[in-house]
Amino acid sequence: MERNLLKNKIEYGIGMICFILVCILVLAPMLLMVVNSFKSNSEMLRNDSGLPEVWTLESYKSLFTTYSSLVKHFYNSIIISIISTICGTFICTLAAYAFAKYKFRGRESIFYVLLATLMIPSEVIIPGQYLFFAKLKLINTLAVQILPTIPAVVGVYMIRQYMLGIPTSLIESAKIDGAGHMRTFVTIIIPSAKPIISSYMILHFLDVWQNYTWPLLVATKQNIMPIMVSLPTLVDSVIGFVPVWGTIMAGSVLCSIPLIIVFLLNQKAVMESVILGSIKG
Amino acid sequence: MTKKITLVLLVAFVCFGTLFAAATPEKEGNPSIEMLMWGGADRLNYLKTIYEKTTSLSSNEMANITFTSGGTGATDSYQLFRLKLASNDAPGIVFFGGETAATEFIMNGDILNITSEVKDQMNDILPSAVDLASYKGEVYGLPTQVKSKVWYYREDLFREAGINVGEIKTFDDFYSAGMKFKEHFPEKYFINLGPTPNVDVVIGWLGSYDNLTIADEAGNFRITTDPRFRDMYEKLYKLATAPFSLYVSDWDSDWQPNIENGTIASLLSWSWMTEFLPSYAPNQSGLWAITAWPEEFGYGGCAELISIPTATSNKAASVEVLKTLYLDSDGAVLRFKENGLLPVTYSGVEKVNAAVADIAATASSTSPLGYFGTGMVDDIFATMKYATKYNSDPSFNAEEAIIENHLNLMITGIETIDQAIANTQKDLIMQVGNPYDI
Amino acid sequence: MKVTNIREKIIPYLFLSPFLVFFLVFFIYPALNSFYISLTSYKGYGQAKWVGWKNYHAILHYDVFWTGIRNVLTYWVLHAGVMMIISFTMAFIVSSPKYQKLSRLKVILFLPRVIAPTVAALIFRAVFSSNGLFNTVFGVTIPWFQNDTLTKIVVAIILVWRDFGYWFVVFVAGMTSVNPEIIDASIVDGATTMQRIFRIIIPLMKNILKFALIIDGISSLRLFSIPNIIVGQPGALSPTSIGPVMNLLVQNIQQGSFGRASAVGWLLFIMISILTVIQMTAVRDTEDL
Repeated sequence: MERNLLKNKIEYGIGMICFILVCILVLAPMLLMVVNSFKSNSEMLRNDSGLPEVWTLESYKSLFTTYSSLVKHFYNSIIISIISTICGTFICTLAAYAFAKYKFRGRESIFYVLLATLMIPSEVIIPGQYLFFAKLKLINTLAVQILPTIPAVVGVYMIRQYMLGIPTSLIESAKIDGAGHMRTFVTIIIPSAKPIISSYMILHFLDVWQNYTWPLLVATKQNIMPIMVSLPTLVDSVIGFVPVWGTIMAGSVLCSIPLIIVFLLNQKAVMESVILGSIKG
Repeated sequence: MTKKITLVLLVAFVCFGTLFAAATPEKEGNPSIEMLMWGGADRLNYLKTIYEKTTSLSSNEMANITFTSGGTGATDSYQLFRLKLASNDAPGIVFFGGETAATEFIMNGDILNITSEVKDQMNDILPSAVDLASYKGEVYGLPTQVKSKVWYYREDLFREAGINVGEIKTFDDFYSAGMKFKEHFPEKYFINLGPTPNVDVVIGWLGSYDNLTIADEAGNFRITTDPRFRDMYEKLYKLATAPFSLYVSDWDSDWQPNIENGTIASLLSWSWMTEFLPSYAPNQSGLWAITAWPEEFGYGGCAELISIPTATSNKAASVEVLKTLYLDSDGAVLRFKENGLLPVTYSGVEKVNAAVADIAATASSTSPLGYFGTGMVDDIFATMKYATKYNSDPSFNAEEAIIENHLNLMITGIETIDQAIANTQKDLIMQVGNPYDI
Repeated sequence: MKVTNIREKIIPYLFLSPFLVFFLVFFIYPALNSFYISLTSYKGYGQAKWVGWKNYHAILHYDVFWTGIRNVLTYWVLHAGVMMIISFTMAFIVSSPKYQKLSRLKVILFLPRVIAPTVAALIFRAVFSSNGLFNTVFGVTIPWFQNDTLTKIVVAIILVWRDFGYWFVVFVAGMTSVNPEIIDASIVDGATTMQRIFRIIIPLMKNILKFALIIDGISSLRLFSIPNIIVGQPGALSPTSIGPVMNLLVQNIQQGSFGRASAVGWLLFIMISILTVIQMTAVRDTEDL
């Protein structure tokens, strides 16, 4: 018994150490990013891993002076992500509601066809999308970065799964009270599906925010670039410039910390929706 | 609570962004010319200043120049140009890193023929520049400069090692000079040649053979049939694996540090390196000298070609900007002062020669003239006599990428020289098909 | 009566229509169009020329394509196993009752997921630079970015770092769905922790694990930003020995060969379909047991 207890304790200790170790490994690069952002660009070239010799806000200042375009790009990213999130969540919720709570012809088949298209990765259709938007003369606008990201089958799926759990009696009692379809949707469905809607919004926002391949191809003009595309351009060793690592790190902090805060505030809901979205086999 | 913070953050983002989102004000009414080029916008922003200083137009007729960068490499601008054509968004002026890249567009009718527009200035433009900017006798743009193949070397180190560049004529001379250098400086490297030879290296070597085209006129590729390709592959392999050559490619992130710390003693490069070297190794001002590549592989040249797309909206304004920037002799002096590029007109050359002493007097040690000394102008002109045009077919961009790829595989040892040659031919046939069929 | 009936019938379609319109216009149409283009030679302007299956033929005979596939496989092999082990172990620790207090901290493990791949690649350049964090901490001088194999390892490390939190969350959910009575019974029977993991939990979670491996394989095929940013500037590198297969697609667009680019895309789709079919049959097999 004694031996068992000891063994249990050792096991417990090993588990604890493993967990803490992994946490440190996870956090270290992020801390490094923050620490590095307090170094000057010239110090970053000598010392890109230790503590700053001089703690300075120079890199952050450069974001607003020499590299003020980054702030503009940051703003573009925000506009793109917010518009896409709002529109995307709205139309996905509408569709999810139809799939979850209405019976209509073709419901199953449409739904399964949509699910099947999940197998087509968005990268496959990039050439077709590019030519389509080129024909509309929309390349190098904010719209071209927003529009294709709006419809997301995953969103419909996730929200529908959640809505299936909303009791139909709620909807029926609203109808008896004389509420129309849209009113039922707004007053009953949206409030009761709020947890999934808000966590899907965060997932969608993250998705659009982190998008790289598509904007890289369609956003080549400085004034509409998102920050994800413009940040790596500062690494450039080609044009005879020395990379400005301090500024890059400050930019990275700028576009990571707000997301981390939003995520931390809504962590539970987001992680639940991750589970909902992942198990669809 | 959670919701409130999220909301506050959201509002803060939007306010914050709006504050800084104010776009740069544009002058109303003036024609707007978008220049599509490569590299950072800062590097070419001086063009705008030069234009505004030298144009004969009044300030409200002046074009409003904006810059769009395709990316960091010379290939990026024409790639973006294609995409811009595809999206009906042709720029006012397009920069081609090399005139070989423009062939495809010229043949396709995407580039404006400006022969009649420059007719009056024709006598002033250097013949080699006209040649580089022409296709089948018609002029399709202006070169920023005639790019010649320049061998930059550390005069001090070469002297100490007892190497006289004037005596190096052949490849074997070059190789033994490298060995001699390595014996003298075991820690340093004679040249650098890394795993990814880029377009400059490829054109540099292709051009050194007399009329070595990738395909014959019927569109048959000649990599396996023309022994000179094997010669080129072998030489590059020999150089890359030589003990005196540092295994770092041009433009690689390790390239500049190794120049700066003095590990690389010479660069087989192009005349535009005059612009970069002073900022790459500011500590070595006055130590670098300029000469042509050894004669055996010394011929070949190209030009950064500045052209006007046929599809652009304001052709007249584009032509005016182009001519002001590259044919005006005062502009030539300003450009020379900025980055050491030599003019392409006789009048420009004359003015630059006259101004050299003045510029040198005030030049800092990190400006090209202060860095290389006043002899630089003559040295570079001397290399220009080897600058011959490389005859590229319209699929050159795709072909060059394939050659680059197999040179990479050969140098990294994944393919033998034989395999590299055979596979280049195979890929060209399979991927490009008929080079004239575009 | 009849009018309202029709109206009632239309309502669900009205709810559905905004999504369907967006989806058809911005997804289905481009998808079909890109399939058509893949059978032509098209620069994006001028005339598209019908070439049939030539684009597919050319790509399948292009070693850069196969190098891309090989690289993607390498990335997958290098990171998937390690990642699964880490996320599984962490999930096991966190979900066992002894470590109840840790469950509040599990959010930390998910955090890297919030960092964009672009930013992750930029951060890790500082970690693995020649005098970076890794080399300093371990007192070594490994030239991470001078050697293709080492660079691939760096990419794999970033992938593990960024993605394991996701699977961790999924596995935790999977483990909580394992009936606690079975586990309690096994503890009473005197099963060791290892026995518990290998005899009970892994068999019960087999499907989730398989699912995770395949989905992770699919996302490896779509890899693009991290390997490119870690070694160079934005955009697709010219064919190098570390480029993933997506590079070929992006390059073909940048070179204005939309036909080729589409063909690469559809070949990618075929590979993903094969993986999906494998996943489905694998899952079905275990269900039969």
